[in-house]
Amino acid sequence: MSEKRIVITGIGIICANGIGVKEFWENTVRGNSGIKEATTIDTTALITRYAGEVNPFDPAAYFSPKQLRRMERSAQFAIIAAHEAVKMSGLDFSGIDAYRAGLVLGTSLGGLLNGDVFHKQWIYRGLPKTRPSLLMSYPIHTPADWVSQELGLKGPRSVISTACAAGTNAIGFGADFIRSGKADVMIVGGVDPLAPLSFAGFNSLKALAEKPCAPYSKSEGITLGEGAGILILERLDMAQKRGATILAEVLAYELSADAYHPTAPDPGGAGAIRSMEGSIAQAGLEPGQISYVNGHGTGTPANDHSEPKAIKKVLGDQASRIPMSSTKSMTGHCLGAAGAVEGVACVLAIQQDILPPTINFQSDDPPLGLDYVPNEARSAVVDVALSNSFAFGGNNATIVLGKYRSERKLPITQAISRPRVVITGLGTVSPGGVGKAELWETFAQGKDCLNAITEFDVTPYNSRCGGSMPDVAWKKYIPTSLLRRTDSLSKLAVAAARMALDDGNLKVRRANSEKIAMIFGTGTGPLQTVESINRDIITKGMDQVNPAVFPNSVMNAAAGQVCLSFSLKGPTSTITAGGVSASTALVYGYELLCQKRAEAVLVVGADEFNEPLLAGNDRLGVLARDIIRPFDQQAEGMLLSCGSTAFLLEREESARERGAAIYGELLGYGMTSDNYKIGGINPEGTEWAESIRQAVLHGGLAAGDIDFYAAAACGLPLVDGAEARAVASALGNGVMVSSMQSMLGYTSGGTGGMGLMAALMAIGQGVIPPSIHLENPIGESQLNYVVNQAMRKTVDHAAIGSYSFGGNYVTLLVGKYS
Amino acid sequence: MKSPLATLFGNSTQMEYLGNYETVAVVSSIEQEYDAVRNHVGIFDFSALGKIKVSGKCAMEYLQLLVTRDIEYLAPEKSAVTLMLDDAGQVVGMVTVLNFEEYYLVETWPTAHEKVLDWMRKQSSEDVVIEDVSTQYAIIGVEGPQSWELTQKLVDFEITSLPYQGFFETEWEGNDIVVARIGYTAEYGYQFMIREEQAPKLLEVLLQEGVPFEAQLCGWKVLDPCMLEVRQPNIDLELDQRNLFEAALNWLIDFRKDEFVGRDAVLNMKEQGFQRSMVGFSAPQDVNVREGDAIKVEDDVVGQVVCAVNSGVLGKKLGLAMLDNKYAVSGLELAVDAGGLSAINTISSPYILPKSWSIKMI
Repeated sequence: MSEKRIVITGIGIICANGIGVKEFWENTVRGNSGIKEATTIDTTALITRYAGEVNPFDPAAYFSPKQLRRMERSAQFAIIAAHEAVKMSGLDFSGIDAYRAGLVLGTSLGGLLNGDVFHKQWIYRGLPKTRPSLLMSYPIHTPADWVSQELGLKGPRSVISTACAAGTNAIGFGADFIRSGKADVMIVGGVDPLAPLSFAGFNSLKALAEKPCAPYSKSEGITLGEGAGILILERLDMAQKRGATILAEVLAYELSADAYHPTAPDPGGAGAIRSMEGSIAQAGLEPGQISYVNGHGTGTPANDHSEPKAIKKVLGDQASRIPMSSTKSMTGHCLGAAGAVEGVACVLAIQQDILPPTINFQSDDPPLGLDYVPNEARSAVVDVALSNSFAFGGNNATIVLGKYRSERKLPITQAISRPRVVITGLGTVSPGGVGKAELWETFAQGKDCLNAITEFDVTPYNSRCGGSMPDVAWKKYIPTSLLRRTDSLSKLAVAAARMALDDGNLKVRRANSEKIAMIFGTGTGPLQTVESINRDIITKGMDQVNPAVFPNSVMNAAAGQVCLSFSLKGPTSTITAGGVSASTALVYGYELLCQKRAEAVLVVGADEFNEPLLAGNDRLGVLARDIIRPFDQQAEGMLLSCGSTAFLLEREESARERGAAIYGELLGYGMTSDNYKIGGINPEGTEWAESIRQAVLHGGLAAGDIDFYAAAACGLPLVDGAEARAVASALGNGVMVSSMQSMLGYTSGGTGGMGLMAALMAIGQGVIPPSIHLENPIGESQLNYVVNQAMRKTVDHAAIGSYSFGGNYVTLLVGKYS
Repeated sequence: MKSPLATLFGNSTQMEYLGNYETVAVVSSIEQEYDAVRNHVGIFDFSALGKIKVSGKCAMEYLQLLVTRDIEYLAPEKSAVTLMLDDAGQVVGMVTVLNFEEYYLVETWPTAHEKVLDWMRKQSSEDVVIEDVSTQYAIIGVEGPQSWELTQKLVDFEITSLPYQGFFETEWEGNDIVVARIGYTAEYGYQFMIREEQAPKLLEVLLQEGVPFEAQLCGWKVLDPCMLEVRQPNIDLELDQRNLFEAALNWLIDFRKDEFVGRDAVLNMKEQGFQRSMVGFSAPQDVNVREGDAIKVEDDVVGQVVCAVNSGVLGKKLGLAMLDNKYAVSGLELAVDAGGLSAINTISSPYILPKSWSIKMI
């Protein structure tokens, strides 16, 4: 089973407590704090002046002026930490198959700082005087794209944005790709910069401590931090073969949802207990075998009361013996990077047998009598370290790392199988209709669902048409208490989720609620909310954020609402990898079922359409004026739209056991990426084609077996051409091809979900939806398009394409269930 | 009918009828019991509450149609307070609906028990099973700033994790028991529902464990001031012949809900408007203000007193008055004719700040 064991062979870090592992660890062991008065953020209107800032920091020492013009702080941090980690690992990427090396990054903000600059230009100078190149490196996934480009990776690439749990979650998701055999090396970690949005937001919640944070003792609030932590995960046998120094092993990780409250943790820590117990069990350990706990330890009263309680419950009578500390006391809370920074700290603790301290600890009476390693580091054998990250949206993540010992038995490596994964419930809301029946009718008729935009004034823009939110009797699908205080993204997600649960006839009960996972994929997230908060910050001030709205600004807010609305308490995560988000969420759900970490997975993909989105894309010149013509020679760009899809995934045996109707079988997937250009994709479609080939191979099929390919083409000649080449190269010309975007518009992260709905329709009804507005197909390849009218044809197997700007490709493969 | 705990709370001279139930009105004295609830722990025998079990395939749909709040998303182990109306929009009862997943339990005030049960049976359909389990279970309540600490003594479940209106089923000394975070006084409040025959033993343990918290047995009477102080609806007192807009109980109706019995009627009431409204008032302790006393502005009668109690925390008389809309606002000084004119002040709720609000469990 050595090919399923994963070791850590390199680490890299940049945070307030040090640039580079050496400086970071020296400071950490000495109990030196990196928290000082902030210099990059105007704190005058805020509760605090303090932050864990990377200072001094001279980006020019690392990057060329040309790079710096486009690269914001997140990308810089991530690249610096990644280079250090790779160097330490001794890996030579030129010597390994680039498709077998991938990357998963956790982040809350990604390239938001570039967005801030753009936003200010937009507000103060007007859209025509903004610098569009800022937007190329603004999407949340661009730091991952930068790192990938730097290192020349072509394997699975993904971005997790589960707020403060993202870093830990990203390490785990990266490990999943190695365990599943999809990659041999994964670069994993997290990054986040200090940003006005986080300061103003946490300030509005009164969650900031005035003085540097004092976790587990004074607990007066958090101190924000920034930075990046990167770890190199490698298949054990390969690391051994190349004689790498093994720093530690990834034993297991687990996720859970509180389904308790949008921001507050469950006070009894029930969700935290599930993620801790789950990861300990998967690692084949008894709680008493944990040597060190790196706590979430934010310093807020809510966390610092509930986390020790949960720890005590998990560790039982061993709790007071097992040391636990919060390194956030020295680094500040690095949000999406926190779990990664703390993961690096755990690797060092394991390697050096030193427990990092909780500094600023001022109590003679430690809460619940636990050992918080107060103020001074100390020596102790650290065989196994457990690291916790808990977040808004009730997302919990725990990872267990240990010294590499060959005799360890890891139950999780035994649990993995390749079961048949089936789709048993569908839900959707989009301009194409509410519910599968309406959407399929739209597909069957080849209906153009895009209209002149009336929601806002479009005179400043070139593009005039888009997809409006359909009329939905929201109350039928969404708890009224939620309806009042939520944004359109959450509405789309919750309504589709409800439909899929109902359609699949899956009743969520106490007995199964912890076994149902929920994975969310969104390309642009709650952009409307983020824009309005940011606008207030820019125009009114840092202390003008509405505390009721800020929690909706995290990318996983909608996922939290879904879990809360339907009491889903199993593993939960949010993928924000641009256009491949829904597809990647389906991949994640598939892997959770393979690892038997859930009985059923609800996968939801959703994206909004709003004015800021139109403005940005319009400025980039990627939009058509009024018609979207995928694969057509006259195509001039995309039209934007909104929508959501939800899918209930189960293993075949559980679906059959409860007599569920089966729409189709998820046969496999392929994930690749390119290094062509930030914000662009390789026009040759080389890596895209490879993702299609991988999916076909995964499904045990041959290219000729694929009857229908639901394309991601969106009317951008660059994308359509690349995809056409990819399909022709991977599947040949026999496959029927069409693009749902021609009817529904481009919904960013939702693309793969809409494609899957089309594929399931084709499989179930023998009707392939058409590509409309297709008069003169592009000449790149002689593909068989389903032109303008739906086509009757038996479809046994279908592939679904998706791509993300920045060069990320996910292909799904589904088949008729028999 | 009599609670299995009645004799443990008091003797026959202390009994009063609440609906068909004989209950203990006062155990020691209102003052002592009030002190226990507001500062320590008061232990109540709530066995007289009606307990109606609703099961069957369509239990949710059935109840959803009968109650004024949306219970579709009421999660298992959660409860909701709501009204039940008849077709004319008149209140049948105020009820607490608890979702046990396999069934729902509808808790009613003792005085509304029969009426609610009759109404529910009348509305029943074939996929719904309605059982009155009132006499099978006793309910012991604990209310007061320290009641959560006392509750924790009896159960392993981390009591701080139990959200407001949440409940859980567990075992106590080998017996099934339901612990619900439900109360009426705005202090921390919990209810234990247990088979009738086990209840005396549970009470005994609560009393023993309650010693350090200065827990005291309380009767029903002390609820009047305690509920009024925080404007916890006391339907019997407040609704009496009034429509629910006048009684300011419309917050218990979710008008966003598309369908429930009585919806059209109450919407109609709302449209027709109302001339008078309920508002709170305080008066000096020595003014002997009573139900029905006229409230005047100069020589004009502008309303009547609905009820009045002594508020221990305020050290004043506290009451509700039904006033012409013009005067139904807080912050006015009016006169009450209570055997001679005395000044009263209209005030806004809550009229006191319960101690529990400043005690954080975590």
